[in-house]
Order: sequence, then C-alpha cells, then structure tokens
Amino acid sequence: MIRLTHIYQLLGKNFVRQRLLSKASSPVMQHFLSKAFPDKKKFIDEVVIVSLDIETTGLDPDKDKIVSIGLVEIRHLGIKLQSCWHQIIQTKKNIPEQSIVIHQITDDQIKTGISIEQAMPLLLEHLKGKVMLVHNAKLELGFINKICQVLYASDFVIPVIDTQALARRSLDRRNSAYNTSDLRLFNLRCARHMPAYKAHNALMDAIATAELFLAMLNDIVPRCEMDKGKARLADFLS
Amino acid sequence: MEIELLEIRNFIKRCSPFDVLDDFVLDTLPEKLTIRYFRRGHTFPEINTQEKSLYIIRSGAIEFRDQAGLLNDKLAEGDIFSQQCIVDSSESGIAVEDTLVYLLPCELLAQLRKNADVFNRHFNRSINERLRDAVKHTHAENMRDLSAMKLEVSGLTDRLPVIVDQATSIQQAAKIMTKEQVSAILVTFDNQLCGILTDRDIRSRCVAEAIALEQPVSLIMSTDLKTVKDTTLLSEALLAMTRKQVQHLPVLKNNAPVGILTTADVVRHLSTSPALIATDIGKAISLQALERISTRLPELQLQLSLSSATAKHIGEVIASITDAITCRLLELAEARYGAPPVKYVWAAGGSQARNEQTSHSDQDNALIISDEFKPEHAAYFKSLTQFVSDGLNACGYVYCPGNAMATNPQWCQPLSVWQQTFGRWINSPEPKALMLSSIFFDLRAVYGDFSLLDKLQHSVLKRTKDSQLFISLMVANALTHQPPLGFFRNFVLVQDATHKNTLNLKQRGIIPIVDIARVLALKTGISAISTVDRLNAAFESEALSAEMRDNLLDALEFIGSLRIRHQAEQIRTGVGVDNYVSPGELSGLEKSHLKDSFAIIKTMQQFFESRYSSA
Amino acid sequence: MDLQTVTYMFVGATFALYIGIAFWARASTTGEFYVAGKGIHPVANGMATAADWMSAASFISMAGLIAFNGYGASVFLMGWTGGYVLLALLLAPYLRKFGKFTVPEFIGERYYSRTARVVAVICLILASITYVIGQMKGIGVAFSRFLETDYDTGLYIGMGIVFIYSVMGGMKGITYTQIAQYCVLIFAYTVPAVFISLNITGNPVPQLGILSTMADGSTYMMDKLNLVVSELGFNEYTTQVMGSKLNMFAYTLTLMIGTAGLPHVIIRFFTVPKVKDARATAGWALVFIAILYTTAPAVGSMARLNLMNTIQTGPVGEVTANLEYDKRPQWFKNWESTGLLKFEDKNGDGRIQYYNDKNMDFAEKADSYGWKGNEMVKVDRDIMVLANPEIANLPNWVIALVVAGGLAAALSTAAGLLLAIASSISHDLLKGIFKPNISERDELMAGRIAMAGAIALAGYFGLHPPDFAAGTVAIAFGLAASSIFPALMMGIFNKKVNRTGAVAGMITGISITMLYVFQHKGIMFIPGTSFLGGMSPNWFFGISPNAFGCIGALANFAVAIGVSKVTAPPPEHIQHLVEDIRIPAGAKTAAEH
Repeated sequence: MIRLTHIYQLLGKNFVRQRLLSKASSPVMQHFLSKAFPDKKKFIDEVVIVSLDIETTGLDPDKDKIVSIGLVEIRHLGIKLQSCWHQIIQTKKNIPEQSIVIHQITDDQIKTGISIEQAMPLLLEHLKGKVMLVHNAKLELGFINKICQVLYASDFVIPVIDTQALARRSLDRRNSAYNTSDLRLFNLRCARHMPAYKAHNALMDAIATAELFLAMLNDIVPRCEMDKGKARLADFLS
Repeated sequence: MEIELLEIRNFIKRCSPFDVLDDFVLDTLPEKLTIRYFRRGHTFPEINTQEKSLYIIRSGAIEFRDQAGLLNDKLAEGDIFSQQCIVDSSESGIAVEDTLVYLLPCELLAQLRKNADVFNRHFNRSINERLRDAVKHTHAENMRDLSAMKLEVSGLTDRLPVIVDQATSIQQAAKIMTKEQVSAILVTFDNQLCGILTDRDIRSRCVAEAIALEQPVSLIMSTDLKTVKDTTLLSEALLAMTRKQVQHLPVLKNNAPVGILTTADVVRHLSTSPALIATDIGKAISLQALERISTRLPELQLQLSLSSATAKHIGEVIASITDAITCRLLELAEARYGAPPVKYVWAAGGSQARNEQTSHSDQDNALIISDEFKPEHAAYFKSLTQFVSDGLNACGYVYCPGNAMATNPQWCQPLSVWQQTFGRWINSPEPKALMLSSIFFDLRAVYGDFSLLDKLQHSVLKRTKDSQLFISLMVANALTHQPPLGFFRNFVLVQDATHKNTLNLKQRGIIPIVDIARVLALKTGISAISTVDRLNAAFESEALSAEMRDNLLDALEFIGSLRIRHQAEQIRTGVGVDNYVSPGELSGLEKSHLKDSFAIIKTMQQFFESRYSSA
Repeated sequence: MDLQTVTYMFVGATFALYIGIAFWARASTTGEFYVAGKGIHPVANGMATAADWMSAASFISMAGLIAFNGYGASVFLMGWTGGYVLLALLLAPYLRKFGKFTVPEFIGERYYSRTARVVAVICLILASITYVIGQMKGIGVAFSRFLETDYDTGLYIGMGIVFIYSVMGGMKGITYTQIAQYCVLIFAYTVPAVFISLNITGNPVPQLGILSTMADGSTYMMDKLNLVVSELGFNEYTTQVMGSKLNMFAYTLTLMIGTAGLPHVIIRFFTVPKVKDARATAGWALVFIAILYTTAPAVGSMARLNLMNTIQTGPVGEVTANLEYDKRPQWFKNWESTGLLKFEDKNGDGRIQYYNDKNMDFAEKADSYGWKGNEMVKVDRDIMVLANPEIANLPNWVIALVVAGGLAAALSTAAGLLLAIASSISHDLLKGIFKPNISERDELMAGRIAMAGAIALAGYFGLHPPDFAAGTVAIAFGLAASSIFPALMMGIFNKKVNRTGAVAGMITGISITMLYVFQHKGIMFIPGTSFLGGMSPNWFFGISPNAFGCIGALANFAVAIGVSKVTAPPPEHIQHLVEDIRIPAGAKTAAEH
C-alpha cells in the first residue's frame, strides 16, 4: 500500500516532520516533532547521530514486543559513552525460550524494566532533532513506527543511516559477490578486524554499530574528500 | 555504570596500568570514554583535538617513527598512549591498521593518578620500557590464566586455624600457641573474627610493655586485620603480605576463617621446591630413586612458571637440577666402578651448559680426561660414561640424536686430543665441524676436575678470537635459522603435517639469539656460557651496542616466557611438551610483541650478514 | 615472436630462476639441525667462483676489445688468467693460514696499525668504485639495448636495478644462484660463438674454428681477417699490439697483480672450509673461466670479420661494394638508437665507408676512391658481444640469451662489489673511526646509504666512462695493484717491513697511479681536465694509464722498503707471525708428535 507519507519522504524528512507535526495530537509526538532534523548538507562530523539497537521477542512488529533498547551518541565522530542509555521493557507476555538465548535477558531482569508506554517518551527525547543510526533499519523502524501508531496515532519519522545498507552499497559498487550473512553486524566487524563483543545486548550492539559506522565512513566517501571534511550527511542517509 | 558496559570495563582492566585500579574505580570509567576510529594511514592522534586525552588502543596498531623513518614505538591492542596528558608533546604516529581507540579525558586521568599511587607510578616511567613491560605482563597473564586452577591459597594452608575468644588471657593464649605449635592464633568476639595474635605481638606489646599476663588478649592483639579469601591467588596474597608488611594472613571461606597463611608457607611453595628436589637428589641411593625424583621436574617447571619466575630463572633452576642428577649419577658410578684412575671432568653441553634448559631436553655431554690418561684406562671411562648416560636417559634426558655424548669415544678424550679436535674445527670448519661446534663450544664443567675444562676453553677462545675464517662460517651457520617473519611482517607458519600452522619458538626464535651470542663470544674471546652473560660481556667488550644488547635480551626473555607458558599449559593438560606455538594461543598484544622480537633478531642477522658475507 | 618479446622473456625467466633458487636455498637451510653437514661439491663451487670472477668486463667488453685491437687485446686474457693463478697459488694459502680473510683485516693485523688498515680500506674503496664504473658501463650498454633506449637512459634504469638487486643482498653467498648465473652466462657466450664459427669456418668449436680454414676451404680464417682489415688501412689483426711491447708487458703485469688486491675475488677462496676442497675449487674455477676466455678470441675475431663484411660487401674501391645507408640492417638501426653506433655521411654518397683514416699510407688510396674520411664515427667496442649474434643473423632466442647473460654478469659482480664497499664504509670507516658506538641498526642503514651513494657516483662516472668497460676495470686493477698487492706481498714475504713503510708505500703507489691516470684521462675522469691529454706521445716510456699500476707498485715496494730501513723494525711477535704463516699448515702439528 502506498501511503501519502511515502510520497512525502521524497520531499525530505523535515517536510514529513512538519506534515506530521501539523496533524499530531499527542503531546509526546508534538514534542518529538517540534525540533528540526539536521540539514542534509551539513558535514557529517557536525551532526549528532544516535546509534540505536532494540532487542525484540521476534521479527514481526504486529505480534512481537520490544524487550530492551540501547543507544549511544556520536558527536564529532567520537562515540560518547557518557550518553549511553539502556532500558529494559517489561512485557505482559513471557519471552519465548529462543530469544532468551540471544538476548540473555531473563524474565527476572525484565521485571526490573518499565513499560513501553513509559519508555517511549524517553526514547523519543533521545532521538529528537537527531539522526538515527541502525544496523538493518527496517526492523527498528517497523517496531517504533508500530508503537507510535498505537500509542500516539502518528507515523514515526527520522533521518536514518543504515550501516547494513551502506555495506551493501559499497559491496555492490565494487561488484563483489556476497551473501546476506556477510552483511550481519558481527561479520562486517570481523571483516574489518574489529573486536568481537561477546555480550549481545542492545547497548553493546548500539556501540558496535556506531563503531562499525566510524569504520565505514571512508568506504562510502572517497578518502580525499574525507580529509577535506567534505563528507555530508546526505552521503550516508538511506 | 550500565552493567551492559561491563565488557568495556573488563577490557580496560586488562590494560596496564589500569589493572592496578580498584574495581569500583574501574566501574566509573566506561561512561567517561569516547570511542574513536582511525583508518589505516591516518595520523594519530588527530592534530586539532580540543580535548586532550589518554588513548587506549582497543584494536589495530599505531606506529611512531622519527624523521628518518625509523620505528620508535608501536602501539597495539591494550597499549595506552598518554603523551598528551603527561607532557605537552605533539608527537604523532600513523595508524598502520584500522584502529579503534578509547579516549579518556586528561583531567580524569589526573584525578585517577592523584588517588592511586601504584597507578601513578606507571606514568613516571619511560614509554620505551614497553617490551620490558610486556615481559612482565606475560608473567602476570600466566598467573591469571593458570594459577586460578592451581595455586589458590586454600591449597597452601595445611591446618585449620587455632581460634580463641577475646576474653582469653594472654598466658592462656600463649599456652595454646605452644601446644598447637603455631606462631599465630585468631581472636574472635561473639564468634566474629576481630583480631590476630602473633608471637611478635606477645613479645613487643606484652613482654616489652610489661603488661600482666592475666590481661585478655584483646589488649595486645592486632585488630587492623588483613584477610584473604580462600580463592585468592598465591601471588596476590604474597603481594598483600609484602605491601602491608605482615607475616600472617587469615584465610576466609564464606567469611569463616579456614586457615592462616604464613610467609613460611609462601616461601616454601615459591622457591624451596627446587632446593628440596636437589636435596632429595643428593640423598638418592639408587638409580630408581633418581628416576622417581626426576618425574617431578615437569611439575617444577609448571610451578615456577606459575610463580611468575622469568624464563631465565626457570632455565637456571632446571639446569641446576640436571646438574645435581648428573653429579649424583657420577657419584653412584664411581661407587660402583671404583675411584677414577686419572682426573677427569664431566662437561655438560647445549642448553644445560647455557643454563637455559627446560624440563627433559636431550642430553649433550662430553668427558675431558687428564693427559695422564693411558690406553688401559679406556675401559673404566667407557663403563662410567655408559652408566651415567643410561641413567640420564632413564631420568628423561633422552640420548642425543647426533650422538654428541660422552659415551661416544670421540667425545671422551684426553685434554690434548680435545685441543687438537677444536684446533681442527677452527682451522678447517667444515659443515659437520660447525654443527658440532655449536654443541661443544657451549661446555660447562659439572663434576670432576674443573681446571681441565678451563684449560681447554682458554686455548680454544684464544684461537677462535683470531680466526676470522672460522667466525665468518659460524656466522653463516648462525643465519641458517631465521625468525619466521615474512616480507610483510606476517608470521610464516610451520607447514609440516604434525605441527601445521604453528611457530617453532625454539628453532626460529631462541636458537637464533643463542647462535648470535655464541658467535659474539667466540669472536671476542668471552668465556661466559649463558646467552644472557654472553650478550652482556659482548656489550662490555664493545662487540655489541647497548641498544642491540637490550633488545636481544628482551626478545630472548619474551620468546622464552611465551615458550615456558606454552609448555606449562601442555604439562598441565598432560600433553607432550614441545615448542610449537599456534598464533591463536597469543593475544593481539603478544603477537605484536612477538613480531617486534622477531624483527630485532632479523635486524641483527642482517647486520651479521652484511658484516661477514661480503666483507 | 619479435625480438623484444623474446628478450623480455629470457631476461625475466633467468632472473626468476635466480630469485627462485635463492628462496629455495633459504627455505631449505632451515631444516633439521642434525641433517646439515654436507658441503658443496668443488665442481659446483668452481662454477660459482667462475661466475663471481667474470664481470661485465669479461663478458661484454673483452671480446669487443679483441675484435678491434686484435692480438694487442690479449693482455686481458693473459693478465686476468695470470692474476687468478697468482692469487690462487701465491697469496690465498698464506692469507688463509693467517686466519684473516679480508684484506684490510690482514693489513691491520700484520702492520699492527689501525692507520694501515684505514689506508688499505680507502685504497680498496677507490679501486672498487672504479671497478663498479666499468660494470656500470656494461649495464648501461645492456639495458639500453634491452629496453631500446639511448645509453644514458639505460644507465639510469640500470642504476635503479642494481640498487634493488644489491639491497636484496645480490643473491650473494647463495652458491646455487651463482651456479645458475654461470650456466646462463656460459651458454649465452658459447652458443652464438658455436653458430658463428659453424657459419664462417664450418667447425662447431670456436676455439678450433679460429685456427681453421674458411667454410669454402679457400684460406685460413685468420689470413682472411688480416687481408680484410689491412685492405682498409687497419693494422694487421694478428700482429697489432697496444702501444709498445713494454706497454703490453706492463698492462699484463698490472692486471695480474691487481687481481690479488681486489677483495671480492679473494673471499671466494676462503668460503670453502676444507683446504683440499679449496684447492679443487680453484682448479675447477680455472677450467670454467677458461671456457669463456678461450672462446673470447674467436668471438672477437669473427665478429670483426662479420662487421667488415657487412659494411664492405665487395672489393675495396668499387663504389657498389660499400653498404648503402638506407639498406643498413636492423641491428645497425637498433644500436644507432642507443647512441653507441654513429654514422656520418662525410662524402654524401649515401654509402658507408669504414676504414682507418688515421693511416697516412692509405689516405691517398681513400682519396682516389672519393672517400672523405671514416664514416663510422662511433663504434663502441662494448656493443660487439651483444651485437654479434644480430650481425651474424642468428635466431632471436640466441640474441635474447646473450642479453640475459650480459645482465647476469654485470649485475652479480656489481652487487657483490657494492656490498663490499657498503660494508667497508659503514664498518671500517664509520664505526672504526668516526662513531665507535653506532648501533647495529644504524650501521645497517649507513651501509645502505653508502651503497646508494656508491651507485650514484659510479653511475655518474658511467655516463662518461674513462674507457670501455674492460679498460675502466683495468684502471681499477691498476689502483689495486699499486696499493694493495705490494702491501700483501711484503706482509707475507718480508718480515722487516714495518707499519710506517707500508702506509707510506700504499699512499705513494696509489697516488702515483691516480695522478698518472688523471693527468691523461682527466681529473676524476672529467673530460677536458686532462692536462697532459690522452696522447700516447706523452706517456711515460710509452706506458698507457691503464697499464700504469705496475709502475705504481714498483714505487710502492721501493718506498715501503726504504722507509722501513730507516724506521724502527716491526715488533718481535709480528716477525714471528710472518715466519709462521709461510710454514705449511701440516708441518707444525706433525712436529709436535
């Protein structure tokens, strides 16, 4: 289904933001949308980027729930660990066995968490007026969008940098054959000899994604341009 | 700290000097960090950083070169770069690999330094001591990796502690101590541990101060109690004892005292083992007894390596045990075959002679007999050497595959024949002679009339010193084993089926240094046998620069310690001991240091090559 | 396949072979310790020695000189072969016994003086660099032909290659590489010779071909050559000499005794550990050297005959008997592009006249033919060996083979010498005198810088070499002959010569020789600074600068002995030492029993 927002997308995220702002009824959403996203022509090192990862009980936004959210900010191309934020989300449903193994979050831990209704304003506050960095944005966007629709009756919008898309783009450009598993965060990091993090939680993954992004910066923009500081936000946006 | 950042905290904890910080301090660090990425070829650190920081290398490598392009320093995983905080220097390097770093603001570092002495001390030292640090670091790693299983303090205390209530009189306590034959007792109040009473307390706080013996022990006990957990490592306990200057440490298990660790316990375990073994060897009355004792040797090597002894020290200890076994065997042989008809000296060769032995290497030895030797004595020495050589073999020092042993009539000769043999080798250094030279130029007297070997060595060194022809061929021989470093500074791994994809640390790392040291010794007439002594002596006689001496010594110790650790692990798991280390066993930091060490050897070999093959 | 491709292939393949062998040898030496112990067979070692011995001067230049100087150029054959024998018999055994195998070490020890050692080092560096200039000339010729550029460009490229080759260690010390080099070199030399000999005389053995009749059986080949050249006013081939008989003698003597002073040759006698094997090696090396040296006269004379016949196609004097310039063969054009062969149409008839216009008797005849002087204004002697197979119309692969051989000869010798120079400068001079505390790493670096410097210097002189490659090398031998040889001889055979005498002798010898060379060839070989000119009338007793080394040596002997007479004699232990080294090795040990 083609929605109007898809057409607005072509006109830029800030345009979409203003459209949504004009229609938004929930104060949380209004607050989130009130601040402009960074201009696409800004140099990449002047933009505040929020690297985000969410852990979920499954892949379907309609059925599955968010288990935890982790994020960290990149400023001046440095990952500021001070800005780390990690939140466990309490769900009514118990987590399936399988995803316990992946996320190492047990029911006990989840009980220490807050509800998604409480968490969402905090998340949106972190993202307000910034750029979101995600590995495989489809999943995160799908979940956040779904929750926004349910809670605030509004679509979600934000400029997105997707490290997976960037990796695919650079591999395509080099005409090299790859299979989809090569595009996984872990494997992309391995290929760059970056340290393997053992923990698999939302915050560490957000940090790992941020590190990967810093490593990939130069793959996307030719070196010489980087040195002159000419890489712009637009070069990275999905 | 977000518990999720534990992994970052744990990494920092592994990096010297952060390893000395207390855990609660470390916990505060991760969230103060910034992560940055330096692409290969980029300048490090950034030229215009507003905020000065300490850099911790998370992965990758940075090289610092001087104007002439010579490598000054190399940072790799786990190394720190503190220039910006320590001196206001603009020193910069180049990332030679894609490099991930953690930045810690300098102000924070200053705080940390103010609050922790040991931590602070690290920054007062020169950064050029990096390799030396790595050597120490490796030992520390040993402790962590292996002693956790082996040497927790719980295994060292052999009895439950004697405990009295605090109301007990001093006299009563002294009686108990005497009866139980202990030098310290624990004091409780309401079944809670509240103090310790030692012989010294009674002497200095009771007798010397003339306090009545009826007074309760609480009056004179030490209340400022230092305790360790039963899982504490021996080394840490030792550190605690020396730092706090106490001789007794109560050992707690689940907060209940289970023993008292004394300095005597520690010392016995750390250093008297070899002495005990040596004493046992001296007392052994039969070959079987010696055999039994020698089975303790691998365990000894393991313990030594766990106690963070240096590779040099371990080599010396093992060689001294081998010496003791050899001496005992000779004594037994003389007891069996009668006193020797003429004087002789039993000389050890190879790694035993150089005091660089690891447990159970081959035996290399020779017999030098006084010139009063007559043909009819040959039978005596034949049985004597056969007995000793067989005995050594039974004790695990297998026969030399090249038959370089005293049982070989060629290597059991009167002094004058030995002198001729060496003369022939020096004048006509055929490949075979060169090979033998590397065994028999490392001879050390073990038993008998030491002056015989002294005479031989004296005359040999006088000749080698002037024989450039011989030296140049020895150099060529020394270059046959090259460090396994490829053109691109990569490891060249062993390719044969049994040890596929490993590094032969002995043949390609230690032997080249040993060979270099031997050539230097022969060239300058140095009588020292051990590689370390030879390199030092070569420096003193100006045959080696101070820089190269230091580098070679560090490389030798570093490679040696990796090898010892590798063998310790093999002994522990009961696998046959070898020298083949897979790069997978090494951390990124160790790989990088190993490459540095190999590069040093390579430079020295190239130097030798240019000096002797073309001149 | 065209010539260029084939040449690239051959050169590439031979170099791949050398490097491959070097890697293989390196890899295989790291085998198990106890397996080592077998030596290299003396025959193999002999080949390696021969490869070391034969430089660009022997391979590229010598036959060219023989082609143009005829009998006179035999001084090179006699001098170098004689020098080898002299070295093997007279000097090597004693130096070996002394236990020092570099010349400076020997001189420093024997004359108990660091000054003597340093002087010897400087003399050796001077001689070696001059030697390298000669090699550079050969390298320049080979590369300019190989890459089809002019000589200067070829030289620049050659300098780069030499540097890389030397820094890689020149594959030196790896006997098997040397053997491979010898094989390539000797094939490259003899194969074309066999073909040409078959063509001209019908005899496949060039050494015999030169003595046989022409293929048509008409006359002896040598007679034919004499006839051809003398018809054009050149000296009769088999009787022409270089200067006077005395000059010939001096030239030969200089080359002979100079050999003994050059370090890279002596060392070969020491790298064989067993005395018996060392002797066998020397013998075999002589055999392998002889193969090339006996072929050289055939190559030279037949090349000359072919060259003359190409240009002078019919009876002298007939207009049509001279080659038309437009119809000149491909090789002619190729070499013209290197600038080493030049034609100038002086009489404007479009044909090439190649004759001796300095010969007054022939001038009249030439005039009558309408010739206005020799039109081959430049025929560089050093191109003859490389051009030879092309002149004889041999297949492309033979030509390619010769280029590969020439490069092998020039590169291996140049690399060996440069390594020796680098080591002398960094160790003997820098560490020995200026910076005793220099670290090993810095010494290595200094060696490399010295090597680059030596290459640059030799390359610069190579642009305007003082003589053809063999001639330049002869000057190097002269420098060694005048300085090192007397010091060695007196060191072994005269116990009374002391350090003052030796130092004074060496300085006198090399100064006289250098002065003489410079005043005739230009100061530092710069053309135009030769204040006495290169003219033979100004020569001292008619002795050419290339041959002057032996006079320098005489002066050296005289000064050294004279000075020693009036100064304090050498200490006792040195005198004993000198006596000792002349007693055969076995005699002493035998006496002890």
